[in-house]
Amino acid sequence: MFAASRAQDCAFVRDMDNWAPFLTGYQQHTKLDEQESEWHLKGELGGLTRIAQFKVKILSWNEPDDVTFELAGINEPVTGTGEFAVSMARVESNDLTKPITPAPGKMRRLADRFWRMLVDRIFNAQRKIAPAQAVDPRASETTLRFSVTVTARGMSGPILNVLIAPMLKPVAEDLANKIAAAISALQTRAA
Amino acid sequence: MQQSRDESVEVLVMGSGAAGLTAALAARKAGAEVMILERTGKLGGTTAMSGGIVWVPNNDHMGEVGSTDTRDNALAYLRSLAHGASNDALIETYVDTAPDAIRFLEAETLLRFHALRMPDYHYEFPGGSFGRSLIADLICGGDLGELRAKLRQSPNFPIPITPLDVDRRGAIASFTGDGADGGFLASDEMMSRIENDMLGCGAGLVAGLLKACVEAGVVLRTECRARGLLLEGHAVIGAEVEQNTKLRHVRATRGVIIASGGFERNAQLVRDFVGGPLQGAIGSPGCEGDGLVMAMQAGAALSNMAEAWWVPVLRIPGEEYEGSEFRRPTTIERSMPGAIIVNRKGRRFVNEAHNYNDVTHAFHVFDPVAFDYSNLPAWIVMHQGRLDRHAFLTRFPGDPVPNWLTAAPTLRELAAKIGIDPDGLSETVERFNAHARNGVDPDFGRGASRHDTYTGDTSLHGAFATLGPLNQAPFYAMRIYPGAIGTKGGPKTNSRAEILDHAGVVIPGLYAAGNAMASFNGMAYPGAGGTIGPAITFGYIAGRAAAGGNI
Repeated sequence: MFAASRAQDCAFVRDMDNWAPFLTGYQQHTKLDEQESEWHLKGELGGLTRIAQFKVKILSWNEPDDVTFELAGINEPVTGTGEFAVSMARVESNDLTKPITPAPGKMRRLADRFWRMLVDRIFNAQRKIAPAQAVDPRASETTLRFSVTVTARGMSGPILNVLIAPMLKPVAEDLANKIAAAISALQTRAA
Repeated sequence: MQQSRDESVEVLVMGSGAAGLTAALAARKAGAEVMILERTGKLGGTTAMSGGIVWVPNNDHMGEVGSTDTRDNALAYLRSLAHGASNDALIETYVDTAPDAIRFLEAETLLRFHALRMPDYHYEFPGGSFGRSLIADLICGGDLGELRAKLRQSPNFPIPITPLDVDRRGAIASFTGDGADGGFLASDEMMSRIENDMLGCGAGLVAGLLKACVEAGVVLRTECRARGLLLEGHAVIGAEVEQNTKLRHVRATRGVIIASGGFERNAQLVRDFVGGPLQGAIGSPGCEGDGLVMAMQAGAALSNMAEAWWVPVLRIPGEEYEGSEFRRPTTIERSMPGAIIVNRKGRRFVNEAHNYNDVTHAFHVFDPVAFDYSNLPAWIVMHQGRLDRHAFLTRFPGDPVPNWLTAAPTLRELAAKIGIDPDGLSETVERFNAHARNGVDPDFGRGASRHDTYTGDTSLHGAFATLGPLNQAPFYAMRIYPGAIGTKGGPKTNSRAEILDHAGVVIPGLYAAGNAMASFNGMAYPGAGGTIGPAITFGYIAGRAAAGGNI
């Protein structure tokens, strides 16, 4: 939750250049047209880092409420959907990710801790310098939600889904928090 | 650099791969106080990144797969590969001791080994056999407690599989997803393994060794790098050690064991010693030749320095391991039907399905007139049918064709794209296809050996397991490089793993094992596990010798 109008949020999100570098493992993105873009993200598994390439297509743009999209791996059999949603202020959890295959038990907990640690390690510095959330009296408070669902398909799908699932929640949380911090910073400067 | 308080142990081991851990355990069980130094933040060395197979002739498990062996048979086989470059005394030591080393591990650790049906890499040579390659059962990573997080992760085997899964299903074809259940292992079994943090391959082997070391009271130090040896006259009495930017002396009253891996990650040492282009090291990032340099400083004689455990490697753009460019080792990428390897003339130059070590020697062929390497650069070339049927690196049948493969609708266009001779490639494929349809390869003998067909598609009969025409467009290519699992040169040792000087005299207190020691096998790679088998065996010997026990 942060101080900005829904219109301001949407304007910020609409231009992916504003927030693309906030995405975990971000390497680069290219706008192919108004609807489609190509993304390169670096991920890690087994000590190996690899750049995954995705095509993202905007499915709907309901300003100022939400934008929905779908994604597809270029080199991997991965598909997914996602949504940015902006709503009036109300305290909500950012726990909006929807892992496809739950991985219960010890491994899931370990993997979850691992990915949280990784995200913290990569982004902690930026978090620390994120500006305090100033309140612009002209702006109402809004809640930004980011949710994403990713499903690996093909022969390796069942295994990959187990490994991917714990990654999504911290990635989504991190992105939403960074966008919120960036919009707040803009508000502060504007004020 | 600050100097901190000195320490003293009885046996100091450098390196935490199979050689170092076995040496430490053997020394500890022989009564010595032992400390392991690992220069990286992760334990397990190159072993943890590997398939974890251990080649042990005349082992106790061969009967499980209907094979037998004798000392004479094993010696005949290893000598058939010698080419005058092997150390015959150490060959005998190895054959005589390796089964005992495995018995020791089965008695003192949770590791339980099984024989694989996998044939030796030169099965048809005198004394060649199968069942000499062993693999340990899966081990639960959670049993390592806090050390679990320090276990080196394998980029090659990130999921808990074991070569036994593949071997029991009738070789590697099942790994490609051709099995009745769509894969080499049922999904629920794989899920169960992941949930229970089971470890296979090299990670499982290291976990078993590590747990035993810790329980026996071996002291482990990570991010702790030996920088030099402490000498008293001719004798080694310890090492200068760096940790947290502080230097201190660690005295070793019974001995120092160098088990710190090869030097394949040290570009200068590779340039100085290795006898052919090495364009992709896949071992642990810590394999920079620390042990080699220290042994040289102590006056060690060196041997086998030009050799490596070779393997052709591929590179998926953007992949890195601990910050360094990552290259992937190849087996089925070369051996499945519908793929060949060509040079810039578009010509084949080797039996692609042969074992990875020996195939790589063909990349090093030198044309004295052109004064150039005849087969560098090289490419794997394949057709759509190959991709439709079998996995290729991380791409499985049915997946999108990745953009790291160069694709073209015709062979000539493919040749033009990768910059090789289109006529040569067209002629090569035409000739290869004509023979492959008949299940023969008169040019390089592909499919004639048991190893070739084991690593091919065993749902197909005989040589057709590896021979098939390239006849379905589009066609694909990927650059392939001569890489190495590790180097195999280092200080000369005797049958007690003691390091020798130039006069052949033992340097008191200094031992070597694993890829840090001069391999007794010359240029040969006898079978799967041919690196870890000697590493464990000479680690076992070195540990007991340093501790003062009977060998």
